[in-house]
Amino acid sequence: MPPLTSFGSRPRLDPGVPEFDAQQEHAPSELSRREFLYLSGATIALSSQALLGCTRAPAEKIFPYRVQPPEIVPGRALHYASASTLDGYGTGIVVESHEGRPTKIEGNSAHPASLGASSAAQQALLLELYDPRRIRTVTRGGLPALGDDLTRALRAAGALERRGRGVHLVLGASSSPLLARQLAMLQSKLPELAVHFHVPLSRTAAWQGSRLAFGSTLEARVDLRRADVVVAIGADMLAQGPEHLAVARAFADARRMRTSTDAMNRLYVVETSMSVTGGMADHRLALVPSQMPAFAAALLRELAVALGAAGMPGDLAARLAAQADTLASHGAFVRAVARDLLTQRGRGAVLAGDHLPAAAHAAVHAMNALLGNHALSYAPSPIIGSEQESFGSLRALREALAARAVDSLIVLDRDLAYASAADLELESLLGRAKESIYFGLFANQTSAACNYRAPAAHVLESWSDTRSLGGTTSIVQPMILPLYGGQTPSEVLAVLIGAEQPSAHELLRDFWREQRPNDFESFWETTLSRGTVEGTEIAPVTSPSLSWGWLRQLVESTPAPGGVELNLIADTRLHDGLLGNSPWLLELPCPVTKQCWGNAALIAPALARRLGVSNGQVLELTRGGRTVALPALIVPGHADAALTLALGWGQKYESGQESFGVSGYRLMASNEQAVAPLQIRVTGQLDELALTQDTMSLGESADSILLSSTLADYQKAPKALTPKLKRPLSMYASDAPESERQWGMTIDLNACTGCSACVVACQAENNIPSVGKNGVLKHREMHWLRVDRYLGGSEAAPRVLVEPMACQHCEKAPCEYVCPTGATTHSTDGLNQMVYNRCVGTRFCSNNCPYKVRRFNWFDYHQGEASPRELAENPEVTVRARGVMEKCSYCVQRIRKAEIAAKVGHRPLLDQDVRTACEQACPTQAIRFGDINDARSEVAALRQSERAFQVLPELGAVPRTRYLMKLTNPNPELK
Amino acid sequence: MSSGPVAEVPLWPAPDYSAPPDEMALLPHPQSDAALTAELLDKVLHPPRWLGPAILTTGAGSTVLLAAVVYTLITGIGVWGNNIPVAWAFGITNFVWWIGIGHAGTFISAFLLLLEQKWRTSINRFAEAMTLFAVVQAGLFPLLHMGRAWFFYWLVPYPSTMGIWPQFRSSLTWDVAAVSTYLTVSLLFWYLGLIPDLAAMRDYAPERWRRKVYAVFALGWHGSAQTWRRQRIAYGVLAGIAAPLVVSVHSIVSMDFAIGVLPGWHSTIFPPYFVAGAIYSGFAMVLTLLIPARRLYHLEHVVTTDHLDKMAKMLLVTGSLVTYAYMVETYLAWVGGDSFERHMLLQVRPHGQFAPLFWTVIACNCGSPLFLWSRRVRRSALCLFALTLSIQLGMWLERLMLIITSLSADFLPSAAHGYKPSLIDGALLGGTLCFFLFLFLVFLRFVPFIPVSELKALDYELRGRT
Amino acid sequence: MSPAAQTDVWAEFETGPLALAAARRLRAQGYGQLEAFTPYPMPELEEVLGLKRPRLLLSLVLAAACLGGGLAFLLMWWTAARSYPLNVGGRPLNSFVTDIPIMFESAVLSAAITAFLGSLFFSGMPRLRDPLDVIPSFARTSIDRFWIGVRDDQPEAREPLSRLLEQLGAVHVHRVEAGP
Repeated sequence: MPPLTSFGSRPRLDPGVPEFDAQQEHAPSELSRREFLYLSGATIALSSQALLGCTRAPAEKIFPYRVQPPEIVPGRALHYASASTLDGYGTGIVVESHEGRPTKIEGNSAHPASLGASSAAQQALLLELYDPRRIRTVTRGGLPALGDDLTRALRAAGALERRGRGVHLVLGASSSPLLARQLAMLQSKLPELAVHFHVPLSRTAAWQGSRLAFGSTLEARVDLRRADVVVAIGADMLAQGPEHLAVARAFADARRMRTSTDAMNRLYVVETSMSVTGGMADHRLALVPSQMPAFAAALLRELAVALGAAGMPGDLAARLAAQADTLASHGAFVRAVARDLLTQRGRGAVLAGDHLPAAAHAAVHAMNALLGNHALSYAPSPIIGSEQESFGSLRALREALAARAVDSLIVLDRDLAYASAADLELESLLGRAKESIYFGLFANQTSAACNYRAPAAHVLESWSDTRSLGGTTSIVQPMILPLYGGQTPSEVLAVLIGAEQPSAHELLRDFWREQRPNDFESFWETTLSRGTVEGTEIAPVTSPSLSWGWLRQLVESTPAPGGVELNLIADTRLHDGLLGNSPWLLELPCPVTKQCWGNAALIAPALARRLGVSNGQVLELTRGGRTVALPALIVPGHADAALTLALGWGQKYESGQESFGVSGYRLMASNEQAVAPLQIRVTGQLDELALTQDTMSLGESADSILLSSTLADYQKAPKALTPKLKRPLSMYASDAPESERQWGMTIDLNACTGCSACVVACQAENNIPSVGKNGVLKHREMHWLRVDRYLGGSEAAPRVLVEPMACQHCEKAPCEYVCPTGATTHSTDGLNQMVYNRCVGTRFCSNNCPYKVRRFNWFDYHQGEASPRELAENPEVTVRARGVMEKCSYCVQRIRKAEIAAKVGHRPLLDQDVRTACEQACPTQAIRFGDINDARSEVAALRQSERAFQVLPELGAVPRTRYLMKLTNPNPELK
Repeated sequence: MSSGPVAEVPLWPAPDYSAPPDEMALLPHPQSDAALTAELLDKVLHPPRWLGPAILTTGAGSTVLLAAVVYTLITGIGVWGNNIPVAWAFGITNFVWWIGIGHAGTFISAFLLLLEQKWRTSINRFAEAMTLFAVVQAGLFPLLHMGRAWFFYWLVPYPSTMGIWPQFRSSLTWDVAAVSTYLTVSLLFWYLGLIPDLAAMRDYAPERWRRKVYAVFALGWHGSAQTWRRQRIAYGVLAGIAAPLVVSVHSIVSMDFAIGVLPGWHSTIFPPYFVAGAIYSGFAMVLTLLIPARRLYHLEHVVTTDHLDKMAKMLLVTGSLVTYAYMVETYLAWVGGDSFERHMLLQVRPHGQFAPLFWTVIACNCGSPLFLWSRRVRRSALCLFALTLSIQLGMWLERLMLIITSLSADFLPSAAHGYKPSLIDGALLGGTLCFFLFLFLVFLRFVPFIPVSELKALDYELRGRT
Repeated sequence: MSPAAQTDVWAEFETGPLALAAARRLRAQGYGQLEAFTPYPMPELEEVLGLKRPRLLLSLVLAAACLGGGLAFLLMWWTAARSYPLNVGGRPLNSFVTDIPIMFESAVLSAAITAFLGSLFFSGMPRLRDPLDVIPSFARTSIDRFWIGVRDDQPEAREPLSRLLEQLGAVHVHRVEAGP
């Protein structure tokens, strides 16, 4: 497949912001329109397939999802089932494709880890595919090289006679059955080959914990529908983890409260920094990281005393008590939680965060076992090599590099230099490999240290397979031919094994043909169209036997280093930083702090006062001889003696220039147990924090903005809490025609976690530009949908309220009557329409919008898009020009599409036919959209709920979007 | 020059002072028609030395405006400091401020004419010219602040292939009607009064080309009794029309805010409150221009201390009205049940991030007129000049405060954001100031800026009846 | 058209009062058609000449005002409620209240334009030349000269008329042939 050299030779954008130069929010276009057309012409000439044409669908036969037949009909979108992988765990996706170019990613409802929902990171895969900064050509020592040289180099590494001595292969965690087979073959061919799994945020501790508790590597899976009491110890399970979409759905289902008599679970969260899960907690306890094991111990003790733990060594029980007493100050909390778990015995769930030490995981396993919680099940891990103690550790590689014993280093799209503990010094050591080959999507410090640099295939360009936490296997289908001729890992391994012209497609089919010999083709077809391979779920282990050997480890778990502790966490958007820094993720406000385009040192208000630090003041953090400087951000509810820093930011590019934020890896130690204490120096200088929300207090008019209550009060008087929704009196009766179909939305604040997946889904669906850091600093973010976040309660124990806010489609819209050109009017089916072509941009509508959800094109934002970024645009949504207003349209393009389809098919429009992008992405199904006049529709039912309310009802705008009151379920024991 | 076609005309014999003395004070030095005409017209024919350079400087300043406008149109409104929620700021502030200033002229000409205030005579043309040029500045901003200014004509009803029309429920379409009407009527009013003096210029100017040029603009005026009568009646009619127009224009401008739902905007007090404010700032601007011009042109005997005194009294009245409006607004917010409005007027404005703005406004608009209770201040050109400057600053800041406070913190706390103006914002404001002065100086250079015939008529009225 | 066309005898006065006195005297002597030019309006003189208030002009202005306001309403009603009806913020298609400002403005505009143009038109302006321009000092009218014109139809009484005018303080007396 010929490389697109005409693109390859183009100057690149500032790697910091793909769409914009960070310094000036309105960057001049990389390629002028004329240039672009010229180049794409050249591309068509060069490549066997046209990049822009309708023929860039893969040559191999792939099978569309639901829509038959597979032939591409211009203007008709096709949907393909595939899967995305994070830290090795697969999650099903459905990709919408127009004329052979993927334009939108949705969740696959047939996949247990997705259930139809999708995360922000999954949505962003699209932008990653079309990112102009991707590696486009093979280079050697920075100079253009031939693919054959690269293949020769690979063959040399895989030469039989070398038996793989000095050959080091680095790849990310994977659950791919094909890859597992290939690795096995490779090991047998080259016994001395060293394979390193690079997973910055690995679950090694959790696996170790399961080995301690059960003697084998098991993954704990939780079904929160079966839990009435949930205790999360440092676990952010609603926003992170291999199955977080499904977990969040189950959690919401257990809090849905369709009627006031429904049951509702209770969530206790023990964590250091406020997380999405912490925001949903009914009770939350902030502890520094080193206290987490102690909490686990204390809770275990309470339970053990009550239940009489069989087989627990007596001498340790005493020491356990002693350690529990270190948390005496929180004794009441621990006892209350314990009592709650005991009364709901069997209907509870205790969960531990991945970063907790192994012993703490074991303790949690023990607690669930003692309580006999049905919500938890244990099954072997699908991750290759998870049973190895050293999984994810790069120490061996470091030794080899230091000893100059690495003859050839092969890195499969892992930025080791960036995402590894600083004390490994890989950044400087990588250069010591004699021959090094880097396959990757983006050029970075690692690729800079490698001799060969070759494009890797993006997941949307690849054939492969992957497994979910539960083992469910999905086949990954390519949606488009590799834009830059990238290789998949399986192809690289095949070359090492000795294949001539390996094709991922063939490798995959051959592998699965062996698995399913009889009637393979029909198996292949059904599998691809459904997105999951039947019968691949891993059977849970029935009642694994619990051992107590680890208890010593727990009670002897190292005490706190004292002083202020450093808490390194995965970023809620960028995860470990290896997601390709798409502007969608960079500009997505953090669900907790509302900060974007950077990270900050999160500290508790009390500590901030003690240090005399204010928001944005730059702190110098020193640990293990390394120092980083970054602005402080005060977070109510943060543990006092700790300081939290999100990983995933500050990735260095090949140029050595840093992306946004500061890399927490620079403070990371390969052995977190034996680590020097953190030193903090408060500097005088200030750094601007790009916050999308300045005020987090609801103020005196709280009741007309967001209603919340406790379960008890609600059940006492269900109707009393929400004001009666009456149509306001009006001098003017509207004489405009109204069709009997009336669209409306409801948002259940009791289900919404504020994860913000909807924001990115909306951005992807509606071609919403990113405005860059300066744009956000000037309050010009373009998101049609934002997630407002308010704090109640005390600053030490805040009560978090989130409220997704988009155009409310008011029936008496204040924005409409002030528009001098009639550019925003009302449709007969109740949509507040924005007519871009008629808009002259007086912005009066925005001023008069009480919800401030209208957005203005201050510049020609789409002009700055470098090719092939524009291929990600949704052809069904206008790309707005400079100087016009825009806002949420209730995804009108989807409504009309569905209406037309129904009309053509001579069938009634069903409730599930129209789903807005935000609704579709929402993991908890908090957002519901439909026809409010259709008695059978979900929305119509929800609008009748006793919890339903309007935001700012007194203005008489009659918003179409209704919200359902937020409820908490506090433990009466804890005040 | 005192020599010329009318040099040998003898002075008018000493008149008898029949008219009341305070009116006499408006024209203290008896002069023959010829002398008066010669003196006033010579001021135009032989401009003072400083005028040329002054025109050049302000002209150069106006190019800043041009540059800022072009840059904005090419790049986008993003070059301003505006944001969401503060989608209006400097642009609309300048618009309201300039249009407000533009109210004094017509007010003086129309209202005072109807009320037969003789003292308007020497200053009305001045004020009218100022009105015109102020409205020109004002008209610039509604166009410029649009995201797509090149489609401004979509606010005007015209049959188009789109088959769509302006949306007349919006106060912005009302603005288009109000501002264009106001500009036209002011122009006609001004010109109708100017014709006889243009004729005088035509007949008086020494050079042939000048005579020709003025002849064209004089439209062949010869001052027959019949023509005079029609002119005066038409003038009266225009005055009768312009008086309610003045009130309507700023009422409509105030509705740009009053029809909105925002706390601090949605208020029925706005129309009278804005009209008072407009006349307030307008009179201040008249004085700001008049006081130096009077000095530089040695017009103390035409524009007397009495004139200043009367203008100052107008300032005092309008200033008090504005202060009263502030108090009522705040009181209503306090007793009214709207928690958002209470928060806006009792918290955000006096204590919020823009509190300094608010208190400056109070000091300038409510504080400075208090000095005008003293007769000494009223009759001291210097003090008045200083006060008018502070009043104009105050009125400009008032509009800015009004706009950005309500926008920056309206209903949802999550949407609350601050505002920082950009360099271009400043350039536009400064540019219009230069352009305004430029136009005004050009007016001084070519147009008889003291109504000669009206002064002669006044003189005849006061002393002539023998 | 121009009043000067009919008049024959033109007397130049240096002051308004003299001209006024002269006009009164001439009226007393029974000279029917008098005409005057002055540098500034003199209401008394107008009385002497017996000028009426221009009813036509005023009624035109009134008519224009009504027409302007009415047309404005029709336009807004037709565009919003008939030509292209749109549901705007749930307001009625024909929202009369919001039409009032524009109705008022356009009434004012049309009235003002009519008043201005009307006053010029009836005064025969704009005009390039005037028959009286032949009189050398006529140009000073706009500055400080006052003219009384008398149409005298009895040629035999010419001398007395000129003498009378000189007695009344006329600095010059000019005879202008009656225009065509």
